[in-house]
Amino acid sequence: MTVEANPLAETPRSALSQAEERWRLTLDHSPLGMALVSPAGAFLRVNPALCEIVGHSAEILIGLTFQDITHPEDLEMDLALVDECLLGQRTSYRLLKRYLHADGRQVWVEISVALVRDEDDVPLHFVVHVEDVGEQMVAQAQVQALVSELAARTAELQRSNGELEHFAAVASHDLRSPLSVISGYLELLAADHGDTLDARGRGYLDRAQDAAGRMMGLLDALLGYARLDGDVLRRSPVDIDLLLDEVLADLSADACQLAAHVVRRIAPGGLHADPELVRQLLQNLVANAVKYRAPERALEILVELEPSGGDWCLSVVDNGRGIAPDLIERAFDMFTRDEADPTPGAGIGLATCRRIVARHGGRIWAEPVVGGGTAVRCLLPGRRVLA
Amino acid sequence: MRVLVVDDDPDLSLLMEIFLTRRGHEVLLASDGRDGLDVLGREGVDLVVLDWMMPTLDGIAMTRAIRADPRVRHLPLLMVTARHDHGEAVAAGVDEVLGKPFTGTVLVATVEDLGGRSLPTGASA
Repeated sequence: MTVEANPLAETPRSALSQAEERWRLTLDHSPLGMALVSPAGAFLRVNPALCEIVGHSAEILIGLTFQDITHPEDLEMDLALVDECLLGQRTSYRLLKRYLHADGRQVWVEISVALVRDEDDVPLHFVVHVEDVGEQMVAQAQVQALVSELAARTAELQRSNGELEHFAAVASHDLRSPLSVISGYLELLAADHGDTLDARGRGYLDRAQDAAGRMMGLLDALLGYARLDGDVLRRSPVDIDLLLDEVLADLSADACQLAAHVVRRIAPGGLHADPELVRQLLQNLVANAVKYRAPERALEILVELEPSGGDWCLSVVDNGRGIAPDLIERAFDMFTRDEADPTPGAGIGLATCRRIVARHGGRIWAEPVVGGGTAVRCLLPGRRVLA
Repeated sequence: MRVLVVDDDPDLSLLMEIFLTRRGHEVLLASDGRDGLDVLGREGVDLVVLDWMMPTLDGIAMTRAIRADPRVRHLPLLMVTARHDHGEAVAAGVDEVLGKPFTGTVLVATVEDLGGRSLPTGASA
């Protein structure tokens, strides 16, 4: 029930107009807290919803001012806005603030306040609507906490990525120098004393030189993999033919001889990607096709680029030994390699490919080829036209 | 040729010295860029092989110092490095970059090619 302070309750109840009765009913049943407040801040009239919000009975609230129940930290702002209304600088305001509940806890509310003046422009009272936004604030705080946590985790991830890249660069550099020394002295040993070694001794030397060479390849691959995340993706039109020429030249001293085994089926125009990364992708895939060729038949490699919906499918298909069926799912995981296959490899190449494709927002998979061989297909998103 | 080899790794310096002296070149050694510039100040050399990452004065700074000095700016410079960003070295003024690790054969071939380019008369070997 609405309780009124004396100044507004002078009229005998029997004489209340219907309008006044409707106003009282509205106050009593409004889900929003409502109050009339004197220019000095005293509650003149309050409704049950406001009593519920602040935990005071109407009788007690009528004896208080809004200053009494406003959180001290929020009071200054509220009073400043009240003054602006009284000085005629504004007629109303909204404010997010805290009340102090009767039980001592703070209650977040959003208040809408309008000043009512009489015919002579003298301030009569404020009409105040009060909405309990505690749940909203809790939800907002939770969202804020989640956003902060996400930001912290992203920063942590970026930091650890940066560290990984830095580690890979340092490791690659610092390991490369002693490796230079090892392979250099092995080279000297072979050149100067190779003749004096027996077959077994030369065998040891060959193994040591092979291992040094493999270690070099491993360092390069690790560094290349770690770098993938750091660099910015630089998309531009990609000329697969040109990249393929470069890759073949890199892979073989006799690029023409290797090129004779490569069939190209390149659909014109359209692939929009980071050319350096696509070059690495092609390099890894073609190198694998060469490395895992089937000794019993002539090497054939098909490099194909074709449109697929709005996207592009880049495939490297070979007639080699193929990927063991139990490995085909895991072939793109780091350090996965076929232990039964004596061909040296670190298991980084296809992991690098997957990372490159993923960075372009695409996917990569391998399929067995009938008659032997592997088709590695990369679906790379086409250029999106933004409206 | 008289070659100055500047590298802070004594094992690698010795290795390069062996590779080059076996081919009849004379080798002077310096352990960092500052030491290398000192040697250049008092000895005449035909070519400089220098590492990139070195204490006190690195290979890039040494390259810039050489290119700014009229007495030695003409010297052919070969950088040997484990770093990948060779473009920066070339921009600083080196003539060739050799990635680590390199074979002795490649080192000698590169040095002789570079020295031959700047000494068309083939005055020394």
